[in-house]
Amino acid sequence: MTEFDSNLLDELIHSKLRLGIMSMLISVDYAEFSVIKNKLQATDGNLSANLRKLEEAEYIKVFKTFVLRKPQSRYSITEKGKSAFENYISNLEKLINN
Amino acid sequence: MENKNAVQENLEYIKQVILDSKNMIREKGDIAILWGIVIIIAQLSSFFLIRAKEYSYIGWMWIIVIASGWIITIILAKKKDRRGVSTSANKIDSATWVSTGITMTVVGFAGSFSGMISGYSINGLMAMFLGNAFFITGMIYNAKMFKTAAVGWWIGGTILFWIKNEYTFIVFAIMMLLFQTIPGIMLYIKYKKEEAK
Repeated sequence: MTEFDSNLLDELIHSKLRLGIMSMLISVDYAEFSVIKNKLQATDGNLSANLRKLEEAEYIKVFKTFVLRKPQSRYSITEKGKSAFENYISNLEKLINN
Repeated sequence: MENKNAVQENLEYIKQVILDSKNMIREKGDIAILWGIVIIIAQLSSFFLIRAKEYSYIGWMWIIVIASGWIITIILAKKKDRRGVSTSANKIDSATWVSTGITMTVVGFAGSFSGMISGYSINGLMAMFLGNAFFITGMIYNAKMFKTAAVGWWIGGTILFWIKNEYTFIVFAIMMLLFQTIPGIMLYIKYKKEEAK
């Protein structure tokens, strides 16, 4: 079986849940916490921790809003996040075609 | 070092999440059904009021029908805002329908009450506006059903310009059933099926 160097891959994105978050946010304008949680079947704690990591890296941003007087956190991908994700995909393809 | 199969799996996972996320906003067709039924009732009422020579009620009937339609639309649209996710395609589609609805309302009322547009030619104009909006929706979602409906509205609209009597209301009601209400019902059935999965 072919083996190759995975150091090319952005470690911040290269985890199943964070990869799911990035893939989801790149396809929508924004998604609320509950929507991401349901879609990726994650627990509150695990999702929060991973969202925070991506937020700290400025790959995603959060904005708080109120829907029917209930606070909601809406997440969207940043320009930095988009280019990191595109770079990640391109590296994955390079690794496969290697 | 990473296994090639694991990388391939990652790519597949990304594709799947992107595809699922894009499909998250499925149109229910409820607003299309609502307006379809409302307009069919109003068109048939116009036909029978003209037949009964009760012209004075027609304007009021349309004001009540259109105002009710807008109120229900706003309530349904607010519910949609609570889906917790939004895409650019969805925003463009919503903007197309809101602007088309406003244009149709203004042209319909201002045009007829001012006397600038004859009551019998309004339906032809409305059909053209609807063809426009259906075509944009069809292109955004690459939906053949809406593109076909758009062609139906344009052809039907062209025919309507030659019908200069009360039968314009009957023809428009049939067009509303074929090119809006039925596609709306099909969309609703599809939505319910996918929701049940």
